[in-house]
Amino acid sequence: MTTATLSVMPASTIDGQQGLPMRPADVVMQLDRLGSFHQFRLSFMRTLMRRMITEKWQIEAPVFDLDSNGYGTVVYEVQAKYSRYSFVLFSHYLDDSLRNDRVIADQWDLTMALCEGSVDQEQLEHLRANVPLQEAGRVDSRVFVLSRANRSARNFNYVVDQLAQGSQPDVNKIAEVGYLYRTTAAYGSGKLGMADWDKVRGKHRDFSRPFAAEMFTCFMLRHFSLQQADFIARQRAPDTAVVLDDQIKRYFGIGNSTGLGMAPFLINHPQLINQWVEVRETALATVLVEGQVTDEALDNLQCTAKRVIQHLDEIVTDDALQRQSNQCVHDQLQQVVLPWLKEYGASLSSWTQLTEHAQANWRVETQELINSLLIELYPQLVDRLEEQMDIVERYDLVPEMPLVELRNSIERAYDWALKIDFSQPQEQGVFWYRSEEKMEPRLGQTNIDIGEERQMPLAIGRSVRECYDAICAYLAEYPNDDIAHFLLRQPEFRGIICRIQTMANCRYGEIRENLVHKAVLPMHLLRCKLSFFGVSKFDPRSRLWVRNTMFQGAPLISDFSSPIANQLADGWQFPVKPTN
Amino acid sequence: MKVSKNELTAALKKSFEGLGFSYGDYLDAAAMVTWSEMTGLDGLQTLERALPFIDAGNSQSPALGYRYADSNNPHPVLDAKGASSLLCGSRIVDLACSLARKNHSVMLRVDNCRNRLFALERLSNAGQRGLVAAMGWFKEGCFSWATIGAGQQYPALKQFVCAPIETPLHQSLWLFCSTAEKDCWELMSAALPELANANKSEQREPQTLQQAYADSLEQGIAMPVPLWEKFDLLTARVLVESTESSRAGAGE
Repeated sequence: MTTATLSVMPASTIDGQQGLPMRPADVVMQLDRLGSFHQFRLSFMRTLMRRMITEKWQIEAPVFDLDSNGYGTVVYEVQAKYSRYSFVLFSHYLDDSLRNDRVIADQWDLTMALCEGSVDQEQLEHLRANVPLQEAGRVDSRVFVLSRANRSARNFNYVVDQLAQGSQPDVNKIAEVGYLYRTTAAYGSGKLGMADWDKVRGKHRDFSRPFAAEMFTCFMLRHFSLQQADFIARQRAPDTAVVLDDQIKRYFGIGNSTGLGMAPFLINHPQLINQWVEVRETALATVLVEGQVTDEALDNLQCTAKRVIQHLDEIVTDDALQRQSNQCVHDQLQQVVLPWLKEYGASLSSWTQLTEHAQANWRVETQELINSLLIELYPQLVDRLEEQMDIVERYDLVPEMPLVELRNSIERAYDWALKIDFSQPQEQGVFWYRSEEKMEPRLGQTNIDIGEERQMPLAIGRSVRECYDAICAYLAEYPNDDIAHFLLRQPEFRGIICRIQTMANCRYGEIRENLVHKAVLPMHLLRCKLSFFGVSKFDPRSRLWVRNTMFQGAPLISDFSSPIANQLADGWQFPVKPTN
Repeated sequence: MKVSKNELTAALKKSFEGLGFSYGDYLDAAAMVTWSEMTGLDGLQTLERALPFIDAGNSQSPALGYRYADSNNPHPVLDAKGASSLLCGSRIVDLACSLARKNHSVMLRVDNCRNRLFALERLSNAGQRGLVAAMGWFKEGCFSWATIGAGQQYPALKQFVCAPIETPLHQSLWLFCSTAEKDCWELMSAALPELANANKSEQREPQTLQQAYADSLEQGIAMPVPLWEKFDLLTARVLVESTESSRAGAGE
């Protein structure tokens, strides 16, 4: 067992958290570690749920116009703390053969829009004409999220049949899928004529955290899916139908399919990713420094670890690698971590002893799981960071910086990129491009697939290398020049220099991986972003897209007014089957 | 039709990429056009007029150098070689900022520069980064003059009616940058005596630009459909044909 030591590392720059010992970027920003992140207290679904319950959001459906098969229109009105919103949903018949989760689909079972204010008839008709078209339609700046979902036909029909017959569905069957609908996209940030993020963050304080509106849309989709199942069962068999039990309802989440489209986001928004990771790392460092190892905290940790073991045990996935990974973490928790806590827990003076031992001995995914669980133990220490997930991104050049200083900065901050030998074929084995099919991002194989000359500039390591080589050659001739003068002659490097200089002020942000390596695993990029969303139950369908579950275990809208609402708001992570 | 700021910026980035702009250039150019449109300075109209020229093999940033007009003149002169300020505006302002930081103030003249209006967004950036900055240019019997104070978000704009300028300078752009408050207009008038008798014809305060920007954000940006369709055509140049094999690259 190691003793409690805190390495000397750069301090947090998050407001009010200066001086904390932070993990270095060369540990945190490795792609496989980012792909091992789990949801945690400050993930967006978790913070949204706490906000809705704490602020007692009121949600009603003044329009619930469905036919007996559940097709039609529903408008929910949402009274949040600061403003009123409308969630408008269209339910359509969709032939099974047309159901496609890929971004290239053009028909869906459900289409939805989240709008500011109340929706009048004129706006409703405009939405009805455009929302079902998704990317092929246009909306206006009163709308700020557009989404769609496909039914999990097998699960949905089974649940409705059971309810119509007067029985509750078998939770073992539900556990296999975990949702009634899968969302395949939730668009915000001004796409298709919608309100810009700059407007949303400034005008709608209820949704001013990153992706809060998109997460809320998925939460409302889950609410509708459960309401619709009850509704159809009652229409089908009014004399025998029962409503779905609340405990089982909570065990239903919303499915999500995420593909490569999410990957470029992480590369193109390094300041935002830096902020998310820094908040997470700040939460962890705060817990390690200030979190007292009490009997209660130790019990809570062990108790949650046992629930995670059960949660992992209940995940169903066809993907062999994911299954194996779940099993390994499950076994390590059960056979190593819990016994270790039992033996050493009482003598711990700091959680750092646990994290250092974990880092030295246990799998990366187990380490990151433990980090999530530690953060969970101290809401009073970390919840104040909730409001710090957002940042106004701005990429500025410092033209007067001596070029030699920039070269030194690259050598320090991008040493990982300079170590890559891009002359080796495997280091440029793939390229990223946009397909003519809905501009879907795809991965091509170098010298095999077409489109290499149109590749997206996601190979940051390679761009840095090219820039560095050009700077070194230039400095040999003009050793005293600054960046402005270098760029007069070599303008093609302005973009990457702007990025390098901006990111020099960020602790994290750059993912330390060659994203054009032949064996790159984009799945890690997807998992990283999804962990900040707060999803669970990863089910890879290939190495390039993954199904997962959102809001499984979360409270229902009817729970918002429950006497134990606050308890429900916080205890739903790593959901397990209801026991009765 | 109306589009959002984010949507316009994204469409412009891909369009400029389709035109052949390099990575940093298309990011900058998209920001310049979007800002000019949102602040009410008709960026889209200016772009529409500029597109045929840019698309005729003028989409690469030229290497630039500068000289001094004569030994008595401390102000550098650059030749933009006919490039749009979408392609050289950033670097020109970068140079002005760098020289101002070192020498406290600088006046630059850039000859043979097109679409000079767009450089205003870059100038505003310099203001936001703590420099006093100004720029001026002739166009169609008017001299446009923009100034921004250190730490300000938006510039003030004035237009003067004046006699047509001599040919070599009608495509020029004058840039001032300073680390301290300075009467840039005095410097400008000294450099161009013909401005002494110019009459002010129009003035826009920073608040006007700021309000236009806020309105665009709130209500969306009016977008001419033919131009939007042109963007689609330019964007198509960066898209790759979809084949059975390429679908495998999306995980199918």
